[in-house]
Amino acid sequence: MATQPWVEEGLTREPQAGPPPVGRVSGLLYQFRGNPATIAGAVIVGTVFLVAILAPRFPPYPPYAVDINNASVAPSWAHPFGTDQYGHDVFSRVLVAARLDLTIALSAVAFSLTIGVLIGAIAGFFGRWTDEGLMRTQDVLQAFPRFVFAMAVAWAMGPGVFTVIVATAVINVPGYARLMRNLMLTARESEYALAALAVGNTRLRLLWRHLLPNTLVPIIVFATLHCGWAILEAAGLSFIGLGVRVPRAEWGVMISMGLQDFLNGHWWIYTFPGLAIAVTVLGFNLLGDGLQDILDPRRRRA
Amino acid sequence: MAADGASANGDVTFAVDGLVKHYMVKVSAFESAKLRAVDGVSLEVSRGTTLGLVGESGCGKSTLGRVALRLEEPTAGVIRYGNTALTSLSAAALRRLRPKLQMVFQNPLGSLNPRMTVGQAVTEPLLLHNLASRHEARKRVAELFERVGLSPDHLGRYPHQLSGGQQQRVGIARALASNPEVMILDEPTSALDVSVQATLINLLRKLQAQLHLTQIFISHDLSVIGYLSDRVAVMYIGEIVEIGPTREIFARPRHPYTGALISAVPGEDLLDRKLRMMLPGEVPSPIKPPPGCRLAPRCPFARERCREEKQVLQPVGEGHLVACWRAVAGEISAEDFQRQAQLTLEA
Amino acid sequence: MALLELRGLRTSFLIRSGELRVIDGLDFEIDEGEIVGLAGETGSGKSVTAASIIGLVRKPGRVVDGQVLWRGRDLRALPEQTLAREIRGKEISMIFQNPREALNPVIRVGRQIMQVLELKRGMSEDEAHAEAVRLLENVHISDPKQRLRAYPHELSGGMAQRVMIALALSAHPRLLIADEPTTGLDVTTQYQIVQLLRELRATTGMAILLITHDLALTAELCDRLAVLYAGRLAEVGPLEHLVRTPRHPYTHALLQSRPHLGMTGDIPAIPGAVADLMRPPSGCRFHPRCPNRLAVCSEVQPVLALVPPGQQAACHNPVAVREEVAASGG
Repeated sequence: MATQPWVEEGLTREPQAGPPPVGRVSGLLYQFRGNPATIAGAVIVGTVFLVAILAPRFPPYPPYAVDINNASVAPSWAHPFGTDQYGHDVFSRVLVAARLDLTIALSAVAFSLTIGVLIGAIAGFFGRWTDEGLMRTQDVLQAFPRFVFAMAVAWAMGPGVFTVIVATAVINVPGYARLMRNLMLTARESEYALAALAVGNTRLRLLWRHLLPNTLVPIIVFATLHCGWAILEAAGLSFIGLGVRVPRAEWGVMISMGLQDFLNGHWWIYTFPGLAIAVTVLGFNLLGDGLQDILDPRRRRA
Repeated sequence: MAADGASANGDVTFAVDGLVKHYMVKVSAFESAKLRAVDGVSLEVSRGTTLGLVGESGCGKSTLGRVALRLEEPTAGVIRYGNTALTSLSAAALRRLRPKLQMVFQNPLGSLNPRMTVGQAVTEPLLLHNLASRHEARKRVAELFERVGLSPDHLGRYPHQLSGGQQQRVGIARALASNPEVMILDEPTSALDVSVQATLINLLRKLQAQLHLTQIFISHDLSVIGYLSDRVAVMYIGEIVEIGPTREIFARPRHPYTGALISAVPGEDLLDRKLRMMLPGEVPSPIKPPPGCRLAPRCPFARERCREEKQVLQPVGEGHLVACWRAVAGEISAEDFQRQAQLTLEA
Repeated sequence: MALLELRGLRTSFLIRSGELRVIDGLDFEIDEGEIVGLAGETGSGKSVTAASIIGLVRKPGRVVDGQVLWRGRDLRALPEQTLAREIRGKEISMIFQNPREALNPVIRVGRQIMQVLELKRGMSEDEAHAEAVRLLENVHISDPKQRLRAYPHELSGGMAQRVMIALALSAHPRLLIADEPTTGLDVTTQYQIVQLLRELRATTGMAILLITHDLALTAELCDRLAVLYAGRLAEVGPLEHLVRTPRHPYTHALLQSRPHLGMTGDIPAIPGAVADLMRPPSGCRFHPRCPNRLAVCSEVQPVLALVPPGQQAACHNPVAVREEVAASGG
């Protein structure tokens, strides 16, 4: 192998060094494969999404069809999850409720994330008084017991789907704000931020084009976990009557309805919606934890 | 007459005058103290030449580099680029000048945005300052890559997919993209392997020969500084203690600190166990520097006057300044340093 | 019998794209009281060698073959418990780069030293305190009683490194592995640490394995030098011989690639890039970059062989031979 002319110049054209570039998608899939918990989480969440999309179009039984003759029937072949005190088929309602619960959760997460990230980014980037001021407002929000605060919001706004979304969103804003603020404080001091300024970026462009994209990963992980909690909170609010009203097909409401019938021993009316919540939250948690492993270069599978 | 005696009629392109940068740091839960990172530095770089800035860790040289380009705001002092005082410019005006004032950073991977391809990183300055259309930019970036010895195959790669040497070449290409006149290089090779350092240093030398940039080369490695610089400035705890032509600084250092540093440089024959002039003790913190001459507590030649009187740079030769009254008075010189090294060996 | 002998050591990292053969057949020994330098650049495998010796190679890395003979016993055959209790910190100690980061940041340094003394030498708290003071005095730390109460971040780099050395020496090891102990320290401090290590070898008779990329540092300290390239030994022998008359082209090139005073023209840099450990070059791993390359070099892996003036080099076409031939007009 003859040496190339530029070697003589002392300038070495460097042949490819370092690991061969792996496609980003295939790299992520590889990480994924090594993580059974994440796969489980993804499967669960995927299933819930599928159900949410398809169930309302093809419910086994109409979810709101009242059938007194078949009230409170225990689980059987005809009604795998039994029926509630109004004769609704619990199985159909559990499936159909997935759409509502998921919608509420995702909307709440979207609101929370947008507002929280904005506040946190501005606080972390501009620092000093802006930081102090904004973070103290977050302190105020966080000073209230979460659920009590959500209840207060819901009470003020009156029950309904929108109320639940807003209440859940508001109490979660500080989480995003703090996380983003801390990430931004670090990113702001990084060498590539300095380099970006040296090259001629304005501070605003630095924030938008350089720092934000690099701080989003932990936020995404947080948001995934948040989806799970949001469902719990939404169900909780509906359970106590401040959110979705009876007889909407929503897991929290269904539990509440089931507990009205508690003394008759018709356990299936509240148990199955409860299980649905538990499984969904579990799925999001597993997925969120797994995403953390996949996206954090230090915990990656080699 | 130029502030550091650089040249009587020299075409001075870049200079700092009385530059100061202080930080407030927390010493304990309740106390803050002033960290004097750069404590009154004046120097000039003539057009097309390289000034080597050398000092050990914590002396403030990296801070000086950043502040000199106003990447961090100076606490006091003036920065001059040609006839313009950079320190008086508004943020917008300063931004407009950025293409002319560029920097290469120490940490090759750290200074590149992990989520941008290296092609995008080098294109950014062109687009930011409207120096080229998107189409022209592509050509220009390919040329830049060629110039720094990178294959155009690498354009679409992300920083972590390249080796350290390649990453640093990207950094250099990015700095060159906007056709700068002034370039500050902050320890550009320190994070690299010895063999990679050599190729990069060769590249820098070649680029300087081609482009005649006005450069400040910051490093703790005197061998590299000696090789690349026309003039050398030695820094100790926020102050310049000696500045002069490279050859003179190496052949006949005048300041004891310079003497110690020079005596530590390995010669061509590594086994030539050179006499090292040792300075006892450790470098004091820049939070509470010693009064008077900052080297006094460690200096084998210190006198009472050294501990009381603050030293300032004074001429000892053509374009050569030292901040040591004993050196200026001719009481101590390079021969004394050698003798001191002898004593240390015997101790 | 050598104090430490590595025979055919192979350590690999098993990653997605395949097997990274980081150390690929290393034969190496250290005698009692010797200071041996293991020099190499990034990717040479020098730090992994240290980890392999004391059994600290973590997933996805694994020592896949070879023997690590400590006074005749194969350390690889010992269970983790025994290694932790009897070998590490006791017979073989290690110090690292970035001493302030290697120490526990929330425990005072005095306590950290005393913990080791109580654990490894069975001392009581009072005995340990007195001994800790003594240890700090041995490494020339002024005002040791005061220093013991400091936290690591309160110490300067040089001071922290001395504390680390004190810690490493607390159980009287026979071998000290120093992994880049002076990188990151000021030049003036580096020299102090080097002096200290020399002195400690003289007083305690312990051996030192100095792992570094800085050849100038090895020249200050080592009796013997081994140069590692891409997981294999390129050359090993008495320091003087390797530095004055290197026979392996890599050693020679490494020595040449530093700028020095009075140099004009380009620095003779080593062309090409460090060998890809996943798909290493056939035969001699250095051959694609070697100015002395022959046809055989890409086919047959050279083994360490005795070459004049008195070292071993793994090369089919060592350096000085060519010059002799050239000098003789051949």
